[in-house]
Amino acid sequence: MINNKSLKTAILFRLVIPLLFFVIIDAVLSYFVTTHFVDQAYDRWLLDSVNSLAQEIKINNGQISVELPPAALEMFNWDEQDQTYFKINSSRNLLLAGEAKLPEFSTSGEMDWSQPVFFNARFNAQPVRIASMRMVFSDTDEVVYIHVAETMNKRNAMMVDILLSDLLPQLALVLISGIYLFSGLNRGLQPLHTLAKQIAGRSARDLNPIPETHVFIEVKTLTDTINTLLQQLTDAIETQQRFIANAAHQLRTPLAGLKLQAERALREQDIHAMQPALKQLQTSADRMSHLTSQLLVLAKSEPINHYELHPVDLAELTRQVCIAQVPKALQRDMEISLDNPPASIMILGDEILLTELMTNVLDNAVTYGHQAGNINVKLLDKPAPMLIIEDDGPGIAEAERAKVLERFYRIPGSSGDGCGLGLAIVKEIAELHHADVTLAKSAELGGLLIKVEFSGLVAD
Amino acid sequence: MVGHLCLDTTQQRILVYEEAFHLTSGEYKVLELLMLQTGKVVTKERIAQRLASDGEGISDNAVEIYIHRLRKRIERYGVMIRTVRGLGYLLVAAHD
Repeated sequence: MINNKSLKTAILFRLVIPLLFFVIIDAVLSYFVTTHFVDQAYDRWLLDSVNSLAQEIKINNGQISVELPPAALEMFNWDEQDQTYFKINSSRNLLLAGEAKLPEFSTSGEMDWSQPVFFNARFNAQPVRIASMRMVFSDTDEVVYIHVAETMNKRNAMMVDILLSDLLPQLALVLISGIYLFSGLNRGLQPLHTLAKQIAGRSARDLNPIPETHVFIEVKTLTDTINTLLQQLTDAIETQQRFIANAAHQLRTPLAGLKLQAERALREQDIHAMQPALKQLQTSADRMSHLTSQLLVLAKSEPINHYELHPVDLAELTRQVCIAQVPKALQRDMEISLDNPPASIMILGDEILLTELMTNVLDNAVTYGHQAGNINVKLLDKPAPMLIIEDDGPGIAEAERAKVLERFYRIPGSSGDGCGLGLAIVKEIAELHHADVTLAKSAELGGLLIKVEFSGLVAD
Repeated sequence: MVGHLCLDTTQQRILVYEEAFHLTSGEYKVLELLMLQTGKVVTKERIAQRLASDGEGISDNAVEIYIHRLRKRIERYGVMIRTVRGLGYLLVAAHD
């Protein structure tokens, strides 16, 4: 992750921001609902005022007149918070009483006067709420309009009161939730901090699993993963150490021999007398170089190395390895034959390692087989790709078969310059390819039969 | 030089006891191929390829006929063609 955000901040933001958003939506809704109910309450009084003014309108002989007694005007002035204005005019556009400039409701369409009309407007630089009503009379065509306006101080005060009583607890709720979440998250994330401290406090050599003391599943998943990784690392390091110890041990003996032979050669005065010692020196050096290259193959076939398996043609590979071994076999008058193999068998594998596997099996057969013996290589593609190499050599006793697959094991009293790694290499490379190695007695030739069965990785 | 056979690639011929050894051009090609890789396996495909440059494709049986003829002709000069089953042929100096 490139952008290192705190989990805590992220959770907090994801919870608190939507919460705030909901509060805002709620506030807007509350505003409209409150406005509706406040207007309903105060409009009733406004309508009362309109009705009481209407009672003061008289008709005498078709003449409309308004007589406002002081008591009637009083009702508009008793209020200290709000100013009240009124206007009464007739359809002939005559002002009968009140403020001439009081705005009237205007609409582009036909007015529906069956109900009183309420609307907001501005008057004397103040917002006002106006109620208007039309009066019709039976004995004249003239129509009278009555308008009462009131400033909105009381309404606004009430609006603020209601909104505050509604919103403040909600804001407090968000705030408290935020604080609670913050401390809760701190506590909840504590195991992670503890875990980080535990891991940071470890020495590089300590590969013991992390103790499973954590309650939360999420943390447990994390520790499980780390423990698996630690276990793999432990295994890998152990394998490496075992390998190094083995290798050092195996290299020491031939090196001591080399030193001895060199000393022997140095003791001789005559150059011809040195010859046998030098010959031996060369043989030992050859053996050393063989051992070293075998060790390298073994190190390469360690499963801890990173592998990419590619499609490999097992048939072609077998052909190449057999061809390469023929000259060596001929030196011992041995015959290598490949029983008509399928044209190609594709498997997933590492070409170099598979070559090493086959070379080692064949090399063993050539080295330990009888003079003028036979080696028969078979390749099958069904049911699974399978390589069978059998010879008419001395074979391997049943009791020894498991042991020869182990590293550095040599059959007691066996001839040749082997280092005891050949079949171990075969087994380990086979394991990398999920292949099984079986050693048996060859029914056909009487010697050893080695079967490598590639059950796992068949390339398409 | 293998056995008593001596390959002269510059003049495309094979000498026996310093005298030219008469071979068809196909036989020469096969023997040259085998001699250049004495002691190593030469696959049937490789031999067929070498022969195929003469014209049509060459069957495995045709290769076998060439090998059979060559075997007969060279065996008395201390050279033999061995068959490696499933792999091919190789030329070796005969053990007397």
